[in-house]
Amino acid sequence: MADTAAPAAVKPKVAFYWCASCGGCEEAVVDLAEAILDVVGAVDIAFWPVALDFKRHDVEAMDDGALLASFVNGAIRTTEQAEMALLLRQKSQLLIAFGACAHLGGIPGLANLWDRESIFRQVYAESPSTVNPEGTLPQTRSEEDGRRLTLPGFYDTVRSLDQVVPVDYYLPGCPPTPKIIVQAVQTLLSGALPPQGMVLAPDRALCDECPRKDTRPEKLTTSEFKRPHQVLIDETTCLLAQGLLCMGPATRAGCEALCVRGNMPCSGCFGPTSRVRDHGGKALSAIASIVASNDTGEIERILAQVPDPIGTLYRYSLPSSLLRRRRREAA
Amino acid sequence: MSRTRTIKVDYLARVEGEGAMYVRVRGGRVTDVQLRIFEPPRFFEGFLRGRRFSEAPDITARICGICPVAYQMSAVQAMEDVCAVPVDPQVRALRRLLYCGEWIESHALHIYLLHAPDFLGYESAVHLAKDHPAIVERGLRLKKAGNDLMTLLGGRAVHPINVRVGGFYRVPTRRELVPVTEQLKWARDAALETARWTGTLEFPHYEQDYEFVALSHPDEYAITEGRLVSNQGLDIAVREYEEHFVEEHIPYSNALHSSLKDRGAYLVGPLARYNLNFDRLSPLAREAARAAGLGPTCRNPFQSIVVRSVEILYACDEALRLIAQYVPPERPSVEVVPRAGTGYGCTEAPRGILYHRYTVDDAGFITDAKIVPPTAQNQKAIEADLRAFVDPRIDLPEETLTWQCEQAIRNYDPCISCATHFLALRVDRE
Ligand code: SF4
Ligand code: SF4
Repeated sequence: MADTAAPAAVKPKVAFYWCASCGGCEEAVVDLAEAILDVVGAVDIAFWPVALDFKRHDVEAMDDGALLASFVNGAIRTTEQAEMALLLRQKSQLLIAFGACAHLGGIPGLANLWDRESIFRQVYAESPSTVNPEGTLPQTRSEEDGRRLTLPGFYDTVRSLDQVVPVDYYLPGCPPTPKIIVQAVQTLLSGALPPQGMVLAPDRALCDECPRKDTRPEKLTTSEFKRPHQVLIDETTCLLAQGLLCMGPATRAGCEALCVRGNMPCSGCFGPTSRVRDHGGKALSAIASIVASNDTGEIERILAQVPDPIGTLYRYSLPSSLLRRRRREAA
Repeated sequence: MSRTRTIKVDYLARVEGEGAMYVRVRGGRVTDVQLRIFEPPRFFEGFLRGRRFSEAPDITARICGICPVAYQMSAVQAMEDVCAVPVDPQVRALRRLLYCGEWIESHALHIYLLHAPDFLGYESAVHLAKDHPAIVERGLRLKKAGNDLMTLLGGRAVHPINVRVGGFYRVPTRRELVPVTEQLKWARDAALETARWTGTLEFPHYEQDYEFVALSHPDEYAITEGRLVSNQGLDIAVREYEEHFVEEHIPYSNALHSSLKDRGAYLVGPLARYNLNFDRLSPLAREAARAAGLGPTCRNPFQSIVVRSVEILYACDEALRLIAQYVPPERPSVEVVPRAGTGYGCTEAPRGILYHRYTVDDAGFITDAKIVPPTAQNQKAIEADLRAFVDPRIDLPEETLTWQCEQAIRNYDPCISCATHFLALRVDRE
């Protein structure tokens, strides 16, 4: 193996850790296959519980900042995970939120809906009239709902990594694609670090890199949203043009439109671009803006057909959304 | 040495999830064995309520990134059961093909990266790779063959896209399947070699009298459907599952423990499938099993590494057969009209049967969900095994014993991340 180039002592140390995660992000790292053997040669993996027999006390014994980088996947929902996040933060020069769960809360973050279902229903499905271009509907509504959105217990809530410790970089995706993982690792090892806080994927909308973008209409002519199970989906036309709810306009590029290439609407796993604070709100307003009507009543009628708006628009981002933040402030 | 010992392992390395093991020895005997799973409930069953029926496959896939296809398959099956959707035979074949990809990659991961280091005396695959790069490279390449098959059908290997209630979003042409054929032929040879090689490993003499539970199908080695059978007389339809199996909450673990009513622990997974369905393996796979020293029954959990190799071989063989016979279905999917009802799904995840049950209202919203993953079902058997395993070994030095126990647990390829189960009672535990 290629570990003759540099003495082991100068190899940068890295750690991988998983919190409330499905293991897919770890798997995505293993799946770099040949590439991973090179990475293993270039760095010293100091901690990786899924693959190596290192224990927590090995990390505790390290000097602060001894790790060049820690890649943490999964959301935070236990004291144990929060402690590990803090520990790795302390021991690492760079902390990277790896994957949608660490980045935004991810699908496990939908647990934050638990027993507040009816309120969200009311907020979303029954009051589409508060939709506005900034997508601040959830914020407004949750302010109004104030106390009722208060959480019963701190650890009953799923949090993204940066809601627990400061994060230097984010790798988006559920899971991140091989291409963006490799690029990120190269960037970090090169020493030419991008501005702190950056999401390490192109800062533009997915539609930009979508093979169907030329068929995207200026105005959505359909007067209703279809559900994928109702229609036979054409394999070349923009999905929105076919009346299917695709999160492309509100989602960050970088996956090369993986789902759309498979003829499936984007569900938004890369999260929003840097200009957007609230992914679901942005998606709603993006869609509202292309609905072929200036009539608010008509827009509402169309948007009201989005079934399960939270599960659809905030599939990966509920814990880090304005909804969630508002709730914490109210708590 | 003291006759009272407590062996604690706080992190179980090389299992996919977070768990701890606790063995208490008093007066020279094992008095308690606990496998603790401290990854807490992630509420999947809770938050599936209110989601659309069509979203269950993609949402539940995120319970386990190592076996997402299993979740998608059990979920679509249950939803198609609710909506009484007929599945096109070629769609069924493609799903089986996708599932073969998952078996190949998941088993290769476990054999080469997680389990083999135990037998060869290495701390990890990274250490193993230093001395035996060819072995680890073969494992990674084998895994890649599974991944590439999944990527071809599902866009990516972790959380493939494309599976939907009623069929697929898009189906491949015959031509598109060609490149993966060559790779699968290589993989079939590599799997043969894997079976041969794992057959030469040294196994502790250790056999248990398990009740094996697996799906069984008259015409094929069951993966995507079948009846639930056991070697002790169980023979039921999937929808009868809850009449025969119960789940209990154990205070020291966050995962639920399953057991067979009136009978207790049972075992699911490769060993169970092999013992119950040996005669439906392909001739090549049966032969490889015999050559590796296995008979039609195998009760030594340490030999599960050989059984997994045989199953990889079978999956390659089966994938090649499915590809050869593939004719694209007329439409990738059929229209699905949601209706109120309850549906059941059960498929063979790499680690064993994965049961889903959903109740849906007439608008297509999920009102109730139940998911029983394989590791939850094996937990009782793992504990019983540890108890039997540790007893004759309690005088071993601490470190050796601890390590052997970890190894015994890894026999089951416990995916602790998916053993985790929503339980309302646990909500304010923290
Ligand atoms: S981001 Fe997706 S792949 Fe990664 S841990 Fe979360 S659910 Fe799994
Ligand atoms: S198309 Fe959307 S959901 Fe699919 S991988 Fe890309 S960002 Fe994620």
